[in-house]
Amino acid sequence: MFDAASRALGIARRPWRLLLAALLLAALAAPSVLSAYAVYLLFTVFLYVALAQSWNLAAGMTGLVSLGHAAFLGMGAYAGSWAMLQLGAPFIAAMAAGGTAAAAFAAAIAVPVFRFRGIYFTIGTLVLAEALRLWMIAWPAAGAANGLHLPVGALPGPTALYYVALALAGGATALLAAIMRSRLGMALNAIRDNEGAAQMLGVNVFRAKLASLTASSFIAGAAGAVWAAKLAYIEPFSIFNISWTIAMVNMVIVGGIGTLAGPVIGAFFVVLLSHQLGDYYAVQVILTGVILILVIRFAPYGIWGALRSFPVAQRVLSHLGASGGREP
Amino acid sequence: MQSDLWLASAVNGLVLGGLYAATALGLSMVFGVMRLVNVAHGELIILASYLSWTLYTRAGIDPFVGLVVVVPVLFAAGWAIQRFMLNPLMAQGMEAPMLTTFGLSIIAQSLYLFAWTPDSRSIKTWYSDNVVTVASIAVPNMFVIALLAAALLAGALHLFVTRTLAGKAVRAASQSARTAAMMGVDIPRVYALTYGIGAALAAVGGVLVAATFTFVPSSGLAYLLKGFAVVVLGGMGSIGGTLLAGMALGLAESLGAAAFGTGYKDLVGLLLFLLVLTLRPAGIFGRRQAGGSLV
Amino acid sequence: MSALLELQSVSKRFGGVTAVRDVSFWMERGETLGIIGPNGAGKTTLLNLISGALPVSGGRILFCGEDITGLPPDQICRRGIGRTHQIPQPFGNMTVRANVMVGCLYGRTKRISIEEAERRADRILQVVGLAAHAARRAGDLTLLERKRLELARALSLEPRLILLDEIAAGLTPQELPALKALICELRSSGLSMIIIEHVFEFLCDLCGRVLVLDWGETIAEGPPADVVRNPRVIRSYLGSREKSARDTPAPAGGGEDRPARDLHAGPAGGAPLLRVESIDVFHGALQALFGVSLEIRPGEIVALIGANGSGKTSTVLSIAGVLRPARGEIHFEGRRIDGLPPDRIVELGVAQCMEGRHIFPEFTVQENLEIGAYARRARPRARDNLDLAYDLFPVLYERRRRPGRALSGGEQQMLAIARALMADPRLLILDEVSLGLAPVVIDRLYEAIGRINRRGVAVLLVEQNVHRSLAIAHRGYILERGRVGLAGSAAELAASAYLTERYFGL
Repeated sequence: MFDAASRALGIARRPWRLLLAALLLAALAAPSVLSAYAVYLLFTVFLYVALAQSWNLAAGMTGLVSLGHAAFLGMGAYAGSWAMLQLGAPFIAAMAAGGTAAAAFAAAIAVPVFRFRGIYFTIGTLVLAEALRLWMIAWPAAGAANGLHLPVGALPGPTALYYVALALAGGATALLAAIMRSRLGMALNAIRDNEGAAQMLGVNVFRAKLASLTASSFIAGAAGAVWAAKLAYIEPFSIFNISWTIAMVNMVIVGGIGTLAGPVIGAFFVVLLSHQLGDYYAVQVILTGVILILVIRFAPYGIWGALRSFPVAQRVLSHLGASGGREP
Repeated sequence: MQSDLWLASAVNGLVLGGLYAATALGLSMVFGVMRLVNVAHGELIILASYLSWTLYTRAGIDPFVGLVVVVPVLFAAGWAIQRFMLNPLMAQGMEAPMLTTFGLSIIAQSLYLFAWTPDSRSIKTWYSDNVVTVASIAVPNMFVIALLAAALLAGALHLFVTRTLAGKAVRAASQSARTAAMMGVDIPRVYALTYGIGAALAAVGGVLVAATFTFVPSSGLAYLLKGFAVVVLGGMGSIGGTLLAGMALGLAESLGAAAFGTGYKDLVGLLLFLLVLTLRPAGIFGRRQAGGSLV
Repeated sequence: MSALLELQSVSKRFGGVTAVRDVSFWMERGETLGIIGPNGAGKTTLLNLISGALPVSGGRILFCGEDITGLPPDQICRRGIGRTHQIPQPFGNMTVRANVMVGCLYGRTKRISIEEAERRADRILQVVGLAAHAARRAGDLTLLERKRLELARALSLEPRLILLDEIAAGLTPQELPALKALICELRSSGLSMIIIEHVFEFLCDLCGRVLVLDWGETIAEGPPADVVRNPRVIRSYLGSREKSARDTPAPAGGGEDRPARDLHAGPAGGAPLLRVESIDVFHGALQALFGVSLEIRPGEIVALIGANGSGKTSTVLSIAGVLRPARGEIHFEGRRIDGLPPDRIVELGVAQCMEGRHIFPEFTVQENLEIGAYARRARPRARDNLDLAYDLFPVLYERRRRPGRALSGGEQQMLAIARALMADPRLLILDEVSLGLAPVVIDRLYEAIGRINRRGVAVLLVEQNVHRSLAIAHRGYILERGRVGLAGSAAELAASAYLTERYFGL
């Protein structure tokens, strides 16, 4: 898989790269050809891709199944907003601030949280996120329940935000791709599969997990800042809401956990679904839940995993020079 | 702040803790026996709240009388969930069943939204607002009733697992499923029974919640998290520990609210949970190894 | 010149149990040291102490002159000690090559690039014979392939010393030569090795020196040929001849009044109670049993003997319903039971006392016994069986309100046997009941087994302690690498030289 990929990339660079370049050009041209609503939809997709890759890095690659990722998103949103409001920072700097704040939070909780083994880690992250939400609702310095309003003049317009989201999605995916074929990536996968054995082979488990969680939270935090800029307003009930975590879990599991393309597929799937069923929020959520349950039971490798096991898909992919894809 | 206000807070908190214990027993049992984190536990509680509310507002049935209907319904639902959806996944480790309950919880919340709208509900009976006064401290009726109910439930559960054959089978399964199977215990059936009982216990908790507080479709999460706090404080799957831990949580919340303001009430419990988990991953009353039992 | 590895009075205690007691030895560079001993002797614990997986309770460990006592496992592996595990633990979702690369990337102090790691991993895979499988998912490998992967992972650390924990276990006779050749090759490249093994012929050719452990202590040391002829070593494995013949009471014959031991077939005639016909059993991809057949008649005691890995437990698990034979049939009282789930088989009258006791630690003694009568067939007679259990093991009655975990090893074993009896079985399977127990306790157990059998319960006795089990049994089967090597009456088997030959290759 990893090996087939690197061999594949070496031997047949062109077809795969060509396709990617074509898609990139299409994405760059989109705002000039599509309607404002379509651009908004794509913006949402790209933002969700970034979030999905974030959760994928932690859960899919490292085995850190967190149900509290909304906390990182919210942290980034608040930090970015605060940077723009209090420091008058330009948007890009605010985005970086958001990511950094989220990463710092992750690093701070790492020591206690990594001591929770297995299922306790999952519960612990859920509780942590909820605790953060409650704190932000009550804390006056962050605007408490009223939230924060951002100065519209200082914010980038929808087209600019679209490109930012595209860059974030591309960057996150590229980061994961780089990690997957790096020394760190091997360590993370080893930790996911058998933490004890990994340690016995010399891996510093704590440091590797820390690296993974801070990178993951950075992406989520930056995405949070982007979302805040889009809405020009954030308040704790929605930005720390568990529905963000639900979306991340869904996208990755339904799309294909631990792969590079899975979360991308998952993001398209989730956004399209909400677009189609926009008026029927309840139905949308129910359908999401049902699909999640069915995927876990019958297709644990997600859409991408299922696709790759079909001979037709395998032939197409091998023609592209990506036998099995660039990912494990 | 004056000392009698602190005392009043403390007493109220302790008594309220009974409600928390009642709502946490089901979570504790399912986790203790099957090591399953039932993320849908909060939604089971709220389902009972809604059913009980519906019976009360449509048919005038008192919530405690309504238990006769609500408990069996929840038991059956829980049994079916474990039997058909979760049992096939139990061999795969704990993530798959847990994420399935996660899926169930989001489906449930939407269903509640659909069926009962986002309006907040509660049950107001003739005794709801009354207050019991003990040594000049006023405690709401419902808190006291909840505490008594929790004690009764804990006692009944304890009798079940120590005196009945089915209960012993459940305890055996929680210590070692493989060994229990060698004794002739049908493990999938025991698991379905356990989840059903967990749901039934949640049902009682839900009825208490409906009669004591207001609730909305998304109220389940708060009770799930309080449930986790109680389970971790009380030691995995220990019945007596759960009761005491519930009261401890209620006490901590009340004192926290008195000290920092009501906005931080729920936060106190969660921070306590994180603190305990960091220091003692098996909970205060828990045994040091992972395989606990229910007694 | 300093030794490669030196152990000075190393001990390990787990609570009240001493697993390793005052073990001292040293080895030179380039040496291959074998460590043998019966089950529970402390061999794996010793490896765990050397590799740092467990901290020592006393003594020192020196590697290349440096004191490594108390260092964490990742630091010990960087100093050049690698190990394999009895049960291979690969990174299941990663490729075989990636599995090896982890060690290359992290196991030594010098950092190398991914490409370099890939090259080294490929070289190592070549050496262990897995080059063709490099891109396969590690979780899909067969047992032999997993063992090679274990070895490859240990080699990825570029170790000076490798610890091999029962690497030949579970392999078929056809697979052994390949593994042996591989290890010989490694040895000739200068690698020092400690090998724990049960398969003697594997060991004898490879090791210059062998250390024998029993009850956590060294009882012999020397060249393999000498050690294996040492009577004390033979006794520790096969059990004592004299003691068993003297102390074990005359075993059952089938009814109430016991005549002297029937040296031949045991209880007269009748259809067999249990009939195992030519079963093939697999553990995943590994074949554990090859056409095993055996028979137990009503009221008999049948001994099932064999070395570790010979298939005794697989046989027993197949009868109990935990494993399902891929081929062949198992009949109990004329009715086919292979494929039935364990709880159904208990209902039909087969009870098993599993290896390792497995009593419920949180239940009291009485509760353990009561749950033993869970099966429907057992409930009518539960009261009587409870009285019987206390009669057989009076100490259980004294401790009836204590929780299971508070009992001693011997008491737990008695509880396990009594609990199995509570299921009111017609056939009782006892799997390794004397493991880790003192002789005096084993005496009591065997006495009870005799009494149980006299009440008409047939017993299938799986034992490492050969002489004891043959002294009490009517007939026996000797299993060897998944096949029945020899069958016959207990007397015949006890008298034959088959055992010492097969066990020790003499």
